[in-house]
Amino acid sequence: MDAASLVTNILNGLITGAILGAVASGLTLIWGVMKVVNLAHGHLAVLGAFLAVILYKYTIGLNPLLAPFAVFIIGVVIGAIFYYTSLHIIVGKAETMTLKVEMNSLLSTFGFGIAIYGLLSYAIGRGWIAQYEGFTGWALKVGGKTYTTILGTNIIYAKLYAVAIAVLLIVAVEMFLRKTIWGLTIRAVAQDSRAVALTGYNPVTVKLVTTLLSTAMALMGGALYAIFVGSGINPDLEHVLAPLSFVIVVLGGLGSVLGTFIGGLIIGVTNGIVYALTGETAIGLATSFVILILLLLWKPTGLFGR
Amino acid sequence: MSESYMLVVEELESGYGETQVLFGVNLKVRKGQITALLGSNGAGKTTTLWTITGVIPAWRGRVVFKGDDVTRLPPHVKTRMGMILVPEGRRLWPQLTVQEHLEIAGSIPRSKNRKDELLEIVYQLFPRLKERRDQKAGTLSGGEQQMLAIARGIMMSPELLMFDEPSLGLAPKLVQDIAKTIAQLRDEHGLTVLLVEQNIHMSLQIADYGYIMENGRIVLEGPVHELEENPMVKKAYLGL
Ligand SMILES: Nc1ncnc2c1ncn2[C@@H]1O[C@H](COP(=O)(O)OP(=O)(O)OP(=O)(O)O)[C@@H](O)[C@H]1O
Ligand SMILES: [Mg+2]
Repeated sequence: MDAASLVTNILNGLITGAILGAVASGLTLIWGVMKVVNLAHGHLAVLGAFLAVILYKYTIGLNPLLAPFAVFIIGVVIGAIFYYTSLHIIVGKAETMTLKVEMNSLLSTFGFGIAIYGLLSYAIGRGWIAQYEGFTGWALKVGGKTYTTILGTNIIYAKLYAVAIAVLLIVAVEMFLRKTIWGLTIRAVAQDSRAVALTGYNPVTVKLVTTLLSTAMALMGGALYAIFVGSGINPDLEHVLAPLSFVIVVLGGLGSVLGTFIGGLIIGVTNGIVYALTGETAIGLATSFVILILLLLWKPTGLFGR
Repeated sequence: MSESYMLVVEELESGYGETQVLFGVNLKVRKGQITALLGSNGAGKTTTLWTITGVIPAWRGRVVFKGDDVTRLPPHVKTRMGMILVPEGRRLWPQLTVQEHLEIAGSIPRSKNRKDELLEIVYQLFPRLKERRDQKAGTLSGGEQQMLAIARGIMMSPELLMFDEPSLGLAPKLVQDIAKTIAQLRDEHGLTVLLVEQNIHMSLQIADYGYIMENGRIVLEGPVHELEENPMVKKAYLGL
């Protein structure tokens, strides 16, 4: 293997990693703050990817560049449905996550995920939407070209755009959590929810807002993934996005959005390097788990965890 | 007559699961005074405060705050009415900074418009907190953490400020400082205080009126100078 192809694979790894980090970042919020191991997360991301395609292809012909933002807004609405159908009666009032609450939330989020999967499969079965599609016929062009060359590697502009929006999402959410009163109460609820109630904020409302944000981020991550891959969107993508999201969140440190993004980059780059060395994608995926285990041996709380 | 009381608790009963802890607690907190609720380990003092604030539900009885029956209101609503608890064990948010604690507390509607003024009061009372404002609460010393817990309470513009064992785990010198601060809040800022303590010496120094609790019941009450002379208090609590 030559140096040039290593550079190419590292660059591609960084891009993939940024997108995966964005996909996973919503999970770190709901898991870190509400202690809900959200088994619907991967399905929510896939739904976001489909929505981006549906907005572009089957409805209003929305420019894919705007898809992430539109999907984020739809994600807030879906987040409300998710919260009131699957979380409110289980975790809304719970002050601490007992084993029973945790088991119930596992089941209810799993159920919500299955519902999304079923709904998408049904829509595909009825021929309303097609799978393995994407933004065919569309390309982001700058100066008549669809790609640019960085360090001798050709990189598609659409992918660069997706990365830029991913970074924007992470920065915006970090600022929200650090600088706004909502963000501060979200972080406070994660640390002591009873003390938040005694400081005049309704923890139930804070949990609702956390779910809205987490869900909208999952869907927006999916939309970014759709721009990144361009085609091949199908319900089974969940089987890749969900496990990778869990690995990345634990790697980055539960509850840390920035950590999740960096965790995504690490997974992306390792996969790139392993691919450059072996020519196998599957081995890259396995390596992710090896990295996770090694990191947890060294720092059990993840990179940015406490 | 009832206007002179900030808080009236009547026949309060509550507990955890099946276990009853409070058996008809009656107490009144007079405006502008420090009222002490005293008792040894497991007497039910903390349970009384959790029930007053609504963190755990009252099984029976009433909580009347500023003349209104607030028994069934949730804690965040009572807080917004000015009933503030500085809880046992501080219950800070370890990963948030001093300033972030004060920001959260100072942003509730009743405080928002006078946040700067409140900050000034807090930093005047505890100059240490100003030096440490960018430090995470989890890295503060025990005394500083207690200061921050009290400061967070003050930022919420309390009308009734309730303390659950503020002296717990502090060195004698710091206990004196905290006692002085609580007396200062009454004398200079006109606050009404319900002080829950095991440290009877410290409480009798600054309180106006006191209740003694045993096994979930009030067994004795009276003005502090009377309690100090009471033979049972002398024997059981003051070690005389
Ligand atoms: N979460 C709980 N679940 C069950 N029982 C509890 C719980 N908290 C307290 N108790 C019980 O209620 C009784 C009163 O406890 P409480 O904490 O109110 O006492 P306290 O007077 O505050 O004591 P201390 O001075 O040690 O803080 C004790 O017997 C205790 O074991
Ligand atoms: Mg107690």
